Amino acid sequence: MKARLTGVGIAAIGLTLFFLLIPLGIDTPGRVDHITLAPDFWPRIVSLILAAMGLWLILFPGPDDRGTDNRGPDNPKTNDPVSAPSIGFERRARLAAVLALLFGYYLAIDWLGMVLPGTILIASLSFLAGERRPLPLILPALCLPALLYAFFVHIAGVPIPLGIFEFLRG
Amino acid sequence: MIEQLAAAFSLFLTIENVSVVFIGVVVGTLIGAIPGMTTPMGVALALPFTFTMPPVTGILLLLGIYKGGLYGGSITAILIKTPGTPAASCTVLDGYPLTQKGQARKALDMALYASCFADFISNLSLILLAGLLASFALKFGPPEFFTLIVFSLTIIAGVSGDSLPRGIAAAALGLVFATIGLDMVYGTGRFIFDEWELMGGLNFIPVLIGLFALPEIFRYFAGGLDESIRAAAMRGGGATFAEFRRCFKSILRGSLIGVVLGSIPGIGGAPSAFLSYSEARRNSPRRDRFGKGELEGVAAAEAGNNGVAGATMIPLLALGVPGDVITAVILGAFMIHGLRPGPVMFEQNLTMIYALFIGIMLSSAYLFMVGKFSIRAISRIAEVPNRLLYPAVLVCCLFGAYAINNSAFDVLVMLLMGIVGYSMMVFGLPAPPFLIAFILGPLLEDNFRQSMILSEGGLGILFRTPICWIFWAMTLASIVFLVKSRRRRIPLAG
Repeated sequence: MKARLTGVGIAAIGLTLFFLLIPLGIDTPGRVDHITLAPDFWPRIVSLILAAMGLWLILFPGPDDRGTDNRGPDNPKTNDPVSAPSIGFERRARLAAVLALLFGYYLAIDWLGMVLPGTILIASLSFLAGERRPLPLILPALCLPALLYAFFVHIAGVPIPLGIFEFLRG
Repeated sequence: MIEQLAAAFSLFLTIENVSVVFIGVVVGTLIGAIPGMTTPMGVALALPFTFTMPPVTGILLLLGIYKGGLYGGSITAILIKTPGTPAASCTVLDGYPLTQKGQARKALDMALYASCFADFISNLSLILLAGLLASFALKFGPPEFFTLIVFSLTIIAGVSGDSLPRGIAAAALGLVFATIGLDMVYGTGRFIFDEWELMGGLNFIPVLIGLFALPEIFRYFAGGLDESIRAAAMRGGGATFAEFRRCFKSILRGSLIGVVLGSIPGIGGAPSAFLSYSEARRNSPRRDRFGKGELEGVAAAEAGNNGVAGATMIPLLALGVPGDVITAVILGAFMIHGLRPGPVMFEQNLTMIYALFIGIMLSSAYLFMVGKFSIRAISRIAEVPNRLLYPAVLVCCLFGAYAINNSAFDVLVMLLMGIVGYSMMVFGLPAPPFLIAFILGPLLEDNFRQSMILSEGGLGILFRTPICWIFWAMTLASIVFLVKSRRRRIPLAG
């Protein structure tokens, strides 16, 4: 069932690309010397391949597997959790929190820069992962962003943003 | 000849030269091992330091960083599934599964041995065959490139796991992502949707990190916060001589592939690594174990990756043509010192070229020493529990992604690719075909369209030279072989 569902998803992506995203997202000039030179020639072929692969999976689903991603049968430990039919509420919530923290970090770059949110991110993720000892929670969170800042700004010459703390830049 | 060699030795043998190669290899290894830092970035950063150095010293520093960076990328690829360079993404395929099996030390050892051997072969080719390989490289036009890339893409079938349609679908997704940006021929937008930051396309590094490192971290948080894999990663022993001997054919083949592809301007280490991996898999009696933690896979990928190191200097020194970004920076270093690489340089500055060759050979030895030491040092990193390591890796990745173009947009790309990679993992779509297609896709399309421009739309140009025919024949043979071996295993199933 899962393979068929994946097939439906892949076919849908292929067809959406072909009928919607390519016409909307690719500007084709009025006059094209040859069809193979058209900007949408290649993406159209690829979208058809996607749709065909989706169809293949729908017609010949094979035995349902639990995700490939290089996880071999002799490596059962890593055939863990995510591809199982359902993951518990706690795990879902933890993953959602990680995603929220990461996108929060991205949104905070303009306002707070990369260093302070980096500190909060490290401490929060370690806490989410179960670390409760104060020193391992705080020390890497304080030191790593500061070290990265020093390296990128003072050695590599990359202007890492500081947001409202821009006045601290030496 | 002997006099020139003696003069070259006296030019090279200074404390500055001997130590600067070492410093270069150390710095390069470190840069390659930091997620988000790239070797071209490291070489470019070091360029200003060479202004005040004598020419040989300055250029050797850059070459040391280049070689160290090629190897360093494999360290994090093996240990935390975060390749430091695009070429190292091929090492992930078997390197990380070996770490999961508790054989990280073995994988790191084999990566080092293969890297050093391939680097040595590449340097030797540079010294002995520069003229011959340069004239061969000149025979490669867009149709030859296109057929070579088509052949390289046959590896997708090999890294698709048990489901070929899922692998091809993942590769097709990679090709779609590779088309984002301005169209090469007409300059019109493709999937840009008025976002000017998409005009240049998606950068390799954020995509690479997003596709490999982030899904693994997401899986850790969505799973049972399992610490046992990392704790056991370095418990196994190192690679033995018997294992090196078993992988030797693949290492030698990969080195030669690296030499040939490295001497062709514009190819780079990633296609070479993937092609070497593909050939190793095709010829190995243990091909079913590739992608699940096969030592030969690590050896082949690293040999292909490092085999290009010396060879990329061939078009630069023999023709004055930089083959990639790094050799373009090195060309800049030559020119800053008033030197112009090319045939004339071999006549006017032969002593200096020999001195560079000596330094390059020394860098292979340094690479081995630095690699051996770094494996020991890095074994301590592997002991850091995931709950502390993953947040730190994430922040390194975020800083690295930003630093590539000084753009927060690349941070967003990395995060979104992380979600794409995780979704692919959940639905059983393998990530390696996506990445291979993403790396090779632009080369494939650009060379196809350049061929079509040359022939005014005639497909006959794709069969114009014996080189094209050879690659078509190899592609066909490869497909027949793959179909036969798959039929034996699983008939038609998705």
